[in-house]
Amino acid sequence: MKKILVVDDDESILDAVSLLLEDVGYAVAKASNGEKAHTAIAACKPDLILLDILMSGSDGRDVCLNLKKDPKTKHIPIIMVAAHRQVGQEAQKCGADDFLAKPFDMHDLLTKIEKYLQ
Amino acid sequence: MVAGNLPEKELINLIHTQIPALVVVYNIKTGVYTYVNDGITTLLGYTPKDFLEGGITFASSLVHPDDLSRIREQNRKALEKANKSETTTVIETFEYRMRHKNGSWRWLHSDGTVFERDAKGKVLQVMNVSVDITQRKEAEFLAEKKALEGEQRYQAFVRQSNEGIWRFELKKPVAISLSPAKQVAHFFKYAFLAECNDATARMYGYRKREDIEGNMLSAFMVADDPANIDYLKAFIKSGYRLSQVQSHEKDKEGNDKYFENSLVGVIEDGMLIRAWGTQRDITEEKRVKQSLQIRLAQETVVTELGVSALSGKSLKALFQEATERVKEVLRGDYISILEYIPAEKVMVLRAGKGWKKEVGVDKTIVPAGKHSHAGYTLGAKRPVIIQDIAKEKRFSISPPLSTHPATSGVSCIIYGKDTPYGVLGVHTKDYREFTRDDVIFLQSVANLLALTIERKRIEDVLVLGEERLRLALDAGKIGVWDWDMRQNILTWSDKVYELYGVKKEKYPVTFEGFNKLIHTEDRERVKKAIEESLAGKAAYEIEFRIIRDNDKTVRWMYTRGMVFTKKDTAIRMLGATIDITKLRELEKQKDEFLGIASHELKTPVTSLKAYTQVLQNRFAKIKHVESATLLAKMDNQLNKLTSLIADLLDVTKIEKGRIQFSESYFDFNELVEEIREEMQRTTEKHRLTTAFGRSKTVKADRDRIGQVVTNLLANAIKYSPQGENIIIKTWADKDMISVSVQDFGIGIAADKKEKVFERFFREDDPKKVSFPGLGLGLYISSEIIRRHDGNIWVESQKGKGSVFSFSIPIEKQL
Repeated sequence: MKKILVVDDDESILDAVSLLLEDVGYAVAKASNGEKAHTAIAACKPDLILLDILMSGSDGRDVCLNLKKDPKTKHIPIIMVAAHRQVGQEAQKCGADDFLAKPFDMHDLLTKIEKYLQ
Repeated sequence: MVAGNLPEKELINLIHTQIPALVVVYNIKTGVYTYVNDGITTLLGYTPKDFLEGGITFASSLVHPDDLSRIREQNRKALEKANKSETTTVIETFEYRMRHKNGSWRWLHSDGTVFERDAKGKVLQVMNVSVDITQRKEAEFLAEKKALEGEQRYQAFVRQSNEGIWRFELKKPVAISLSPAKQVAHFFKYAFLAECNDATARMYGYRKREDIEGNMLSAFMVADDPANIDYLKAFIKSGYRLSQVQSHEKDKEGNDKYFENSLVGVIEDGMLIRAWGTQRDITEEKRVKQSLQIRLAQETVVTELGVSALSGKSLKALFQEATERVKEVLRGDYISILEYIPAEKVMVLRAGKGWKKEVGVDKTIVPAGKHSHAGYTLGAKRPVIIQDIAKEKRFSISPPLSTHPATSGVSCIIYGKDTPYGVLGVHTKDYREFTRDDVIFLQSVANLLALTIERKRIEDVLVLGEERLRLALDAGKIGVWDWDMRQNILTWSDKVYELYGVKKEKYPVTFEGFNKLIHTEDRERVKKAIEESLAGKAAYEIEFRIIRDNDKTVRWMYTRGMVFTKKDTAIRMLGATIDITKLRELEKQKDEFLGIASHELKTPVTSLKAYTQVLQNRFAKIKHVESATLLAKMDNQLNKLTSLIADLLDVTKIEKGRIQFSESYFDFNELVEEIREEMQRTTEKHRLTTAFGRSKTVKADRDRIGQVVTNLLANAIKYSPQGENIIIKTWADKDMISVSVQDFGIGIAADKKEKVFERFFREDDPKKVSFPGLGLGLYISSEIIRRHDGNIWVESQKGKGSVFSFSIPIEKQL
């Protein structure tokens, strides 16, 4: 079973997205900020990370840059998620593999995830 | 003297009708006659035109050769004398012969008078008044030959002459050794008219010489007139031989008469016993000359007042000057300028001269209507003359006039635009008969005042308007600029200097001076905006940054201007500028707030959507189709909510011109296909088919262009509710790549086609089925395309469907 780490400071999003992914057969880990994300990555070794850009406390872009710099984690595909339109550019800048604009459609989300977890 | 002010023909002709005189005015520098009256015909048989065209040269050719050099010399000396003293008015008297057109010689007596002097005070024009004295000359000639011709014939001639010829005898001869004063006194006591001709009698108002022969000298001459005493003394001093001297006498009625006399005394044994003489009546000539001079003086005053009126003097100062000049010219004792106050039916003194102390400007009030001279004048609507205040019956006299010892007066209306401004009045202590010229003069001054008052009133309104505008601009913090493009002079209002932090003396402002202040990043944009407005493409309206000269801070300015053209060339731009830095900051805060708000709105929508889709999936799995369908509908509504949030944010940004684009290179067809796939998923009724041409790379905001394609497809789906094919085509040419979206839905009426790109426009179905949405989609789309230098358009037929298309520039391969 593939493992996906969802990082978002919004509890309901964490909850809803987890349910959604679990329903289609993924194992889901959750983290509500950058720090917790690093801990979770070390603990569960996810196959893919869904990373929110704007989080209170830490910037998703910094988290992404750090992960992509670290030889231990740089292979993990990261899909950046944000509520603003420039998400595509931002994702590119910090080395994320893909992006999604909030609010996203389940179909789009699953298509993108499948693309990296085949 | 005012050049070119020739006396009225009518006045000069008066001289001619009273005494047959030739009056000419000529310019001594050019030798050209500027005036010749009809007397020329009577005296010399020529027409005024002959002289006006021939000038002095022609006139000189008519002078008797024996007289020519003499009068030329006499004239030269006289001018020399007149040029030495500006007070000299009479130049000289000439007697000479001229040839009549019929060939005969006529003796003329001419008086030369200075008519006009040039700026240096030198004589420029001379007026000559000439009379025919042939008869007198012949008489003198005959007198010389008296012995030959005989006394009788001489007497007969003397009787018929038009000139007065006379002989005074002294009842008691006077010793010529006595002092002139004593001799003069003696004359008045003992001289009597022993003999004269009828012409002499007629000059005094009598018919026959018998009527006055025997009268004492004192009966004719005003004894205490210094001019007469001087005349008689001159006669004595000259050795009792005098020509062409004036005397002041009285006629039968007591009227003043002026004569020009030539006389010779007869002396026997050191005693003067008699005097022979001739006299010519110059009363009328003198009167006309005098009135000409007064008229000239009056015209001068009117002209000078006119200059003062235009010089920007205050009305008060002009009134003061006018009263002074009127007093001087009309020799008035009390001058008044009264303003009529219609609401109170009174007149207020605005300027005065000669009144007692208690009469005050802006204080003294005169009743209107029939209770004052001024009030009556207003009602009469014409100048009103008072001969004698004591006998005035037309109106009553009120203070201040009634409290002053005035006798005569004249009042003229100072006309106004709708109602008269007031009245200009002159009053004299002594009895005075105001002449027509006096009244004309006073009315001229009044008219001048009227024009000036009206002009000032208009100026005041303009100044007030300008002042108001200035206040409004100051209060509104608006700076105004004016760019004269031909001279490249940029005129700034004080406010602009303040806005740009520039010291007023620092810049003689040109466009370049202004350009230096503009933030380097904005210079190109400002230049482009100006060029576009000059080309007539758009109004000049731009927001730009300047670096303030004094504190080097960056300030945002908003400016708007308009272009003035002359013969299709832009010559001037005029505009206004305000500092919008604060507004910009507030808007930035608002944008940030909206950004945060939309983000915050999107977060719960995201989770709502996720929950909905989870549920939908779960129901689908357990084949609870109805619930799954309901949740799909819910998801659909959430999508609408999402797009509404996005639209609102976009519109706010578009309105402020602050929609941000992040350009990138992308393949156009690829984007369209991506959107097509996405949109196909939202509908089962429609089939989205493609007919793509060759693709091109474009440099644009991919998301925004995608948003437009999405919008066109969403509309095509929305407005073809029956479900049909939707055809998406792309094609490219040299510069542009285009896409069109064709539906087969309700279509758009021809008259509404242009409106679809406006804000909040929505097309309604004929069956009144309304279509949801804010009506912002196409408005936002058209703005996005416009900002990408592209075009968006629609072709449609009501009931048959629509084709929406747009094109954007292709990235040029360099």
